[in-house]
Amino acid sequence: MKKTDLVNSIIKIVGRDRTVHEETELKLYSYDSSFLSSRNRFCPDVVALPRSTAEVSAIMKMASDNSIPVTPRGAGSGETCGCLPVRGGIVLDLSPWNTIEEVDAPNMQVLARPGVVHSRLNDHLEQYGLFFPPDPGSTRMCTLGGMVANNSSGMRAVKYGVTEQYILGLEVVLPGGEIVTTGGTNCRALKNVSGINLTKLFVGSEGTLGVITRIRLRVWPRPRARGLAVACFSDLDLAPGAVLDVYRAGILPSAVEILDHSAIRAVNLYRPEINLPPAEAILIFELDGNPASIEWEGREIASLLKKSASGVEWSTDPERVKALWQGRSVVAAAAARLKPDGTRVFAGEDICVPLDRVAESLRGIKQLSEKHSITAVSYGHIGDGNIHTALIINPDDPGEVDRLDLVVDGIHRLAIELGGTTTGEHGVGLVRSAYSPAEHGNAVNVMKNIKNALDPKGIMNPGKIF
Amino acid sequence: MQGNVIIREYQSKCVRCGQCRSVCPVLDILGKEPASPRGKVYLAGLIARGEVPPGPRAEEILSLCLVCGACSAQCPSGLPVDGIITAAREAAASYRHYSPYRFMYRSFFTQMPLLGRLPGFASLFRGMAGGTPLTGRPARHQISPITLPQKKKPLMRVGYFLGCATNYLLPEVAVSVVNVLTHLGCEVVTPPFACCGLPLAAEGEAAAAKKTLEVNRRLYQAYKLDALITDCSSCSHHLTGQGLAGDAQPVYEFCEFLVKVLNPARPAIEISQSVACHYPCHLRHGRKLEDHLHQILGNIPGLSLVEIPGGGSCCGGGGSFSIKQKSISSRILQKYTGQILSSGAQCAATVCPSCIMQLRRGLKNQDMPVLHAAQLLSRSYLIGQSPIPEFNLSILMTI
Repeated sequence: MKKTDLVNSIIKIVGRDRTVHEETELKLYSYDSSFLSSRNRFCPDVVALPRSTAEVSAIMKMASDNSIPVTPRGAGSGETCGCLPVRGGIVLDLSPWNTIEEVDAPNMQVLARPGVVHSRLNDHLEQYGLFFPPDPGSTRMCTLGGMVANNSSGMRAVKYGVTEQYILGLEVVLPGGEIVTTGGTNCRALKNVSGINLTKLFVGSEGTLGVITRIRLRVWPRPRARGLAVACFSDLDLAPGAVLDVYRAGILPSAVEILDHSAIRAVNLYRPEINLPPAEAILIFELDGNPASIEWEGREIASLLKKSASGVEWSTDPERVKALWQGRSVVAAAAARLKPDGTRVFAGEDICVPLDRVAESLRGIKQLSEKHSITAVSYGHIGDGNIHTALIINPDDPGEVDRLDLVVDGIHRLAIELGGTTTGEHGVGLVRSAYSPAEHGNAVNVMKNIKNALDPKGIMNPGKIF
Repeated sequence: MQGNVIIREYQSKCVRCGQCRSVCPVLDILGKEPASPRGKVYLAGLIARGEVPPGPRAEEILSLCLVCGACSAQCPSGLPVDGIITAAREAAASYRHYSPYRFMYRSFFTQMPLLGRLPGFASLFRGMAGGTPLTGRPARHQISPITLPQKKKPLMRVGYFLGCATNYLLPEVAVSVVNVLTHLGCEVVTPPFACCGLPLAAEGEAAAAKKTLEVNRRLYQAYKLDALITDCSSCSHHLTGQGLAGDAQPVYEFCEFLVKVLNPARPAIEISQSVACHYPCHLRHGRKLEDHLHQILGNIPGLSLVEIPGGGSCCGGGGSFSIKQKSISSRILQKYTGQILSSGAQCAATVCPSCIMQLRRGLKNQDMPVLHAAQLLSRSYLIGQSPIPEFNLSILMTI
């Protein structure tokens, strides 16, 4: 199919206003947040901005008839090249399709279109005293469609788990254009074990099996209070033990975050007024729930931590909680301060390891970065072993980029070696597909068989996951 | 070219996280990635690296920006996003050595004092700004270059930076500003300042903007002022950023000056109105001063401030944006005026002449006046007038 014919077909389906086909504009669909996307130009041939399931279905049918690749895209805030058309073709920009169709408060559920931004949904749910618990750091921009496709989570996964636990059902347009609804899309039951669980098949499939066009998700009562305990450790090895002590005391915090030595230094360089103590590690425990239980749990945590920590502070005062959070909230932006003229790049940024091997992982990352002379800052969700490493390089220095690749590969292999995974919440996409055989063995063949069954022409987000 | 230096310095630090998408009023309307701040910053990099040639396509994409600064205010990497975009505008326009539009634009804002002497210039200015029913002389002809307070010894000598929009479009605002300041004991000096340079900087005319800054700097130094104030949030934001009144000294926004410096007594006359407060983007994101406007208006007896649902947003004006991208500007405006109307307020007040013009356009068929805070304050102090038993705000619209 000629490009002009393809563009005309898309215009016919969604209209001229919602079609992007000019060359310069198409280049602005060639990136997400990954470093790999800044080293390549994955440009689509045309972008469609559909606003109905029927439009998506018509596009998929046309694409299937002509064997044209289709890649769905949300806000493009991912870090894996997951939403990039590595083989060209059509990109479906679903981000403007952002209607919250229904809040069914008595039944604790919401029906929404894929472009709804996470924080917007939670702002909207506030009036009902409800919230959608998974909380990615990208809450202000990431879309629900992207969250479902990548099975996202965030720091509160410790207590609330990941996106899949909240998805009751999906409406999906299959690669041939057929529209299916899975699980509880058409019913309002909060539990549903009828049939093979197709919903879970699509959650986390990264757009390789179909286009998610509608999401029914369950929501939870919004906690009334939050408290924060911060503890400093002079020895990194003491930190994971302290987390375990808290769990053993029967307390499940909503988040447990860690800043290692490198992150503490970066924060202090970036915002000297925050003035974090020069510790080997800082742990931040967040508690949420009812005021009385938070008070008790907070005091309990503070007294437990005093055994191993060199300093502990605990507060429920919203202003103080905000101040204490500051160190963690600026660390991503602060990371680049460790290297003058450096840029933070997203690569090797999402490993997840067993809790009892977090300290080992952090040391391993430090060794790798020192060996290859790449500046690294590590922080993350120690509560579930998810470590975010910020690597700082000068992207214009080819030698440094080569060394970066070695560090990234080393971090991913380290994670697998320690009994963990290359990605805890960001996904595989293109950047981690090389590790799929090592992580899944012959299960990769089962994945491929499922993909072939649903997408025999291989048009749905090709080149990803495996 | 200075623009390319700015782009190279900052663009590579953009990690493309997309957080700027959450606050961009233009993206909110258009939905597509090229309209996002991130898209335009990425395009700036492509132009600087020669991957996209300067040209009308690039110019068109880069014109989809109000330069409101919302993106810069919350960029996690602390990048001057709107500054990168305006620098890229300069780079994108470099494909032609001569552009009648850019020549006209440059001349218009750099030669304003000279052009202002031509008969009919004020009407031309008003026509370009979308037409306004206002008639009468520009503010510069209505206020004295130096106004002394009634008290014998002034508290301080205040320079009034009278911006282009107030001068030609809303002269009554200037009269109110001078009245309030002199009433509060200041000697008000209004030097013949040139354009603040923001319209030029926003269009990527960095060199011309620098020239007007030099003119203004010389004037500022010559007049030996204790402080410099303006009624326009955008002038205040731009001139403070450029350090016109010195590195440590802001060019005070009107309400900021009252709160921080004068701390005046509460005005006496009641204005029994419910007022929706519109915070201009350059006040919120640029100077981060919305509290002062809120405080000054909240201090007026009888006046009740009402919240705009959604917390207020951009009016879609953006100076020349409302002319060049009229349809997008109108769509942003329509959405916002709907929110203002649903607040149930009887009147809207702000501290930016450009926003006032835009909001009046959006609310012209509604019975809702849009005023500058100085006008309300002037009334509440009832400077030089006897009390009016039944005060009708719409009177102010026609002064």
